[in-house]
Amino acid sequence: MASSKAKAAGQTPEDRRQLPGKEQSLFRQIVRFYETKQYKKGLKCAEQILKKFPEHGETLSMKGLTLNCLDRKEEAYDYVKKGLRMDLRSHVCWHVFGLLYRSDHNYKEAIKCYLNALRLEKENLQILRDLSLLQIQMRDLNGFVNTRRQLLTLRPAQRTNWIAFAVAHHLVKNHDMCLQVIQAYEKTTAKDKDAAGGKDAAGEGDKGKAGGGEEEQFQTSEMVLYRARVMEEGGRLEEAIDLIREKDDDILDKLGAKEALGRMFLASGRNQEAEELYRGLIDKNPENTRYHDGLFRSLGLPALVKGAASSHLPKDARQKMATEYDALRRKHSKCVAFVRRVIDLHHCEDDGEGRAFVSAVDAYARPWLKKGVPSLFQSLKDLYEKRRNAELIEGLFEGYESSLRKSGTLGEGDSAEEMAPDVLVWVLAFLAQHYDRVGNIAKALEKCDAAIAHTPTVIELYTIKAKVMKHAGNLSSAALLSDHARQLDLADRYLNCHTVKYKLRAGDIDEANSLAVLFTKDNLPGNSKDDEKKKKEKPDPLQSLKNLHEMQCIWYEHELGSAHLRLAEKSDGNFESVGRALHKYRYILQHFDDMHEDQFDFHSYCLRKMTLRSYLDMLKFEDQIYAHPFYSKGAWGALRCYLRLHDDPPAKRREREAQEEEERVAKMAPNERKKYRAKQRKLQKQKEQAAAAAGDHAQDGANNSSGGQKPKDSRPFLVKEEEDAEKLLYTENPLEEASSLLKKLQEYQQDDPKLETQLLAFEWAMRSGKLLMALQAVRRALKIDGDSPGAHLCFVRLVLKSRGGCLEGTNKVVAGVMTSYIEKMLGGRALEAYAESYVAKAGSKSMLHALVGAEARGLASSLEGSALEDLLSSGVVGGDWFTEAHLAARTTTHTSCIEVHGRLAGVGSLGERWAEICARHFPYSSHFGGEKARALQGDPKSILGVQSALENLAIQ
Amino acid sequence: MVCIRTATCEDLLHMQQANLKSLPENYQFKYYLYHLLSWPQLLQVAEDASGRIVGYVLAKMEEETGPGESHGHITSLAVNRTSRKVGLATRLMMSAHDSMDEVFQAPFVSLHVRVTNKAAIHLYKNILRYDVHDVEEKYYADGENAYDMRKHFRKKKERGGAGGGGEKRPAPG
Repeated sequence: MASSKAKAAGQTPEDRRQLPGKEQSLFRQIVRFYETKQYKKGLKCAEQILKKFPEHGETLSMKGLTLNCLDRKEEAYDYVKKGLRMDLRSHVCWHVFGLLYRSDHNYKEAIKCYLNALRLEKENLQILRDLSLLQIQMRDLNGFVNTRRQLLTLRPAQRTNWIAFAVAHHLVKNHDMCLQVIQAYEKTTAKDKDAAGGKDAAGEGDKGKAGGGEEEQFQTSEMVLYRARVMEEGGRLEEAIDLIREKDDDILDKLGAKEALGRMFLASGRNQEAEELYRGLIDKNPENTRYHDGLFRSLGLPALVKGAASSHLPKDARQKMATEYDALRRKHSKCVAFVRRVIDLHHCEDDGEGRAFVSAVDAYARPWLKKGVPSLFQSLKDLYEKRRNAELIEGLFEGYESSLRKSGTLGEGDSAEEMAPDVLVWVLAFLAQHYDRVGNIAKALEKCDAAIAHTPTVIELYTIKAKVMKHAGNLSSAALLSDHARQLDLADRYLNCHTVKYKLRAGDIDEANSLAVLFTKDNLPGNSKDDEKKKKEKPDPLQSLKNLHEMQCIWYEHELGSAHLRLAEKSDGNFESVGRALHKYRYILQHFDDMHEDQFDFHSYCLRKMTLRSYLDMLKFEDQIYAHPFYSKGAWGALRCYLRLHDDPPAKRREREAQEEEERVAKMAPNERKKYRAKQRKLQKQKEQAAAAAGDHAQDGANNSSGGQKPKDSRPFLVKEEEDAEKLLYTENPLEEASSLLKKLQEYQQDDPKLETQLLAFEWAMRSGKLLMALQAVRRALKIDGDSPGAHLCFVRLVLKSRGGCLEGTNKVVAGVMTSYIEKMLGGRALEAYAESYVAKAGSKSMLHALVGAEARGLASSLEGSALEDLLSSGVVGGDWFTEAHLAARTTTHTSCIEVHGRLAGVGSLGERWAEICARHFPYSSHFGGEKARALQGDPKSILGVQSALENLAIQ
Repeated sequence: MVCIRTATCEDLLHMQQANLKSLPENYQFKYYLYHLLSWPQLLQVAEDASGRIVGYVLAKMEEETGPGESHGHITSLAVNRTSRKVGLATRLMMSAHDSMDEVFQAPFVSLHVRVTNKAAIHLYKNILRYDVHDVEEKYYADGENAYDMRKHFRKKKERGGAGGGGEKRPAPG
């Protein structure tokens, strides 16, 4: 920034920039104070200069930058902008502006500023380095290549500049160039090494010498494997294979190298080598099924992806694989994977009685039953996609039970070994899960109870029974059972989380939260650190819920958000819960923004560490991060909240409530009214006091966990939560918020679109009057699942909407697109006939297909009232699906019955009729008011079983 | 049937959630990323038949001790309660040990464990052959003491010999 001396009296910008000696040194101090984070001192210096030179651009900018670090954002922007206005040709001012944008994660604008700065100061290394980071963060790949080229040209002695330049070419898929750069660099270092200690061999020389240089060896190894990866991706497989073999001595990550070789042998058809290699890998880690698949592929056999997916494999292929597994089993007798996978290869239809299948399951299950492995059922669950499999498994395990009861063994023949008594418990536990899976709740409970009666101290029995009760439709009993399990081992966080989840499902949010904090770091039992301070403050333990959010506890946030949303959706629900739900869902969205941001520091870090393969994987992961199922779940929840806020705006609702309240008060007797008013005033005052005590609020929404300094927010956590949730209720334009979320989802799910996203996009579009978007959503939804009831209903609604005259005002092109799509779909039929044909085509698929199909049919003829009731009752309730016999025959879930109930509510007496049927089929259902559910209400603890394990323990 | 393998970037989120379900010591995502991008071979996961991550080990190299002194350290190990009793923890740890020894040439590995955690101590001591090196007073947030346990790998001299540490190589060509 040292500009030439002012020569003439004419005031050029350069002249104005030049400060006298004293101020110059003050300016240098501002920069130093900024770098050492002594912002207040820096501010003083800036003010000193500005007293004399109020229009000095660079000082104004630096003052702004300093203010930014003192949380005075608005002023910061004012000063930085003013500084720039005063001195547009100063690269310092541009750089500062870039830094300011960067601190707000507005990288796009920051890049523009840096580019302007570089126009004025072409070879500024600092700016170039900063720019390159922003470019890679924003995936401006071509820009990144350019900047890295400049940096390499300016500083060719630095290793990282070579590596970064190579990586840049890799990213733009110029693999050849990437490899050339690496080679060129390696040649120069080889020369340096020969010349023994060139002056600056990238400053790395000093590190390695001292102690064997493990780190350097590691980096060399990583580099070889990175090069091989680039060759592989560039299609130069042979070269990559040769490189790995040639450099074997340099490679430390032998496993990584072998996995790469295996992949490439297969890809280049070198099956023999692949086979040998995968056999070696299997010897090392027989449980890794990816190696099994590699071996099969090398033998020309298909890969066995997952249990159910094997059904399409031809019999002879399966036989070959089974033979292979038999041989492997002899070699690795302890390996479980072989035994388990053999089950997938024996199809029950291969022989009439499914003998081979059963004996494969038998061989797998026995040792685990003996050991009491809780995950046995979980590991066989995939097989249940076939009904026949389930029947065979049922026979086998029922056989175990009766045999154990009769003779204490698992069966006859050579296996007639006497079992320990707890084997029966695990057989019963398996059967309970089995019956639960096939929808026989009564049987499942019977097995649970038998197991609990046998050994009441096995914790898993209660979590299994909790799950059964969840499926039985009694969430509070489920939570009670889960809590019982938790109390049997209070030190186990897994059980704690289980109960938190079940309490949330049961709608018991307070109870859930008070359990959830038990394992957060502030609330661990006997926390003795800072005892004094703690006693003084006496914080509410619930304050540490904050810790769960800081630790990005997504599963909890999602369950909590959904619990709040369910409360809001109840007919008598509290609409404030929508704000709370939204607030929790937004935590999840925020985590993903943070995780996306997290990559920033690693752009330079990985170049130093040389972990380039992992770095490239990380970039790919981050590019797809918003396609992650956790993100979708959070976003869907948030979208539902936004739609709700649009449909039922809280502001209006509050108005309505205030009015109602006024009317109520007006009706009160005078002294009653006086009392009531006084009470209200008191409450109001308390609220205000609480808010005042909470102190002034800093900006919200910007609590970025990864951004280093957090903006200060002195409100106690729980107060902040409530206030922020409340604020969200009054979101000014919920549809706009929803729109940006949907855009992101659609963009990231492009390769794997999700039905849920499309259905929500449709709802959004209909409310926003965006017909074309609604059309697009329906189209995509039907493409994902042509029989989807939800998508079908959307289509019918869209047709009706388009006929409602809304097309008249619209753009001709839009109207044209709409009509032609609709006509194509209807295929010349009337909408009624189209809706009819859906019922015929998809109505037999499930209860919801049938019901929604009928609903859409009714909508198509705009049926209402008794006409709709007639249609639905003839076609649906009382029809095939909606009888108790059918519920019993199929594995219809309680949840889907509730959904049906919701759809039937308000259609004459259909809702009630349906509830009666369901109450009989789900006697434990609290929603449908089943008989046993009512009995449990009187004595909730009776669900725990004959004898409480806790009491048992107490006796001991 | 559970497969033990080296973790990838896609696993990190699931490792984090598994950690939050089982252990009181939790970390932000970035810390997992930091492990993966520093010592990619030292993160191992247990993946069940339906692709869920049911256990993991997060390990690192302790490099602060100075050049040539670095050693392995187990940051965190967890197996879901529902997936216990099949030896996943042992296998996860052994995989991490192998990588520490082979890729990072660590002379030994250390870890901390609550002095009351009998099951874990049994695993480390009797199955994995760790020794108690030291006791760290009030190591945990709740004031509990920790054992500093260590396990030594083969000596350096032995390692130099049999081609990359006794590792079978793919037969060339």
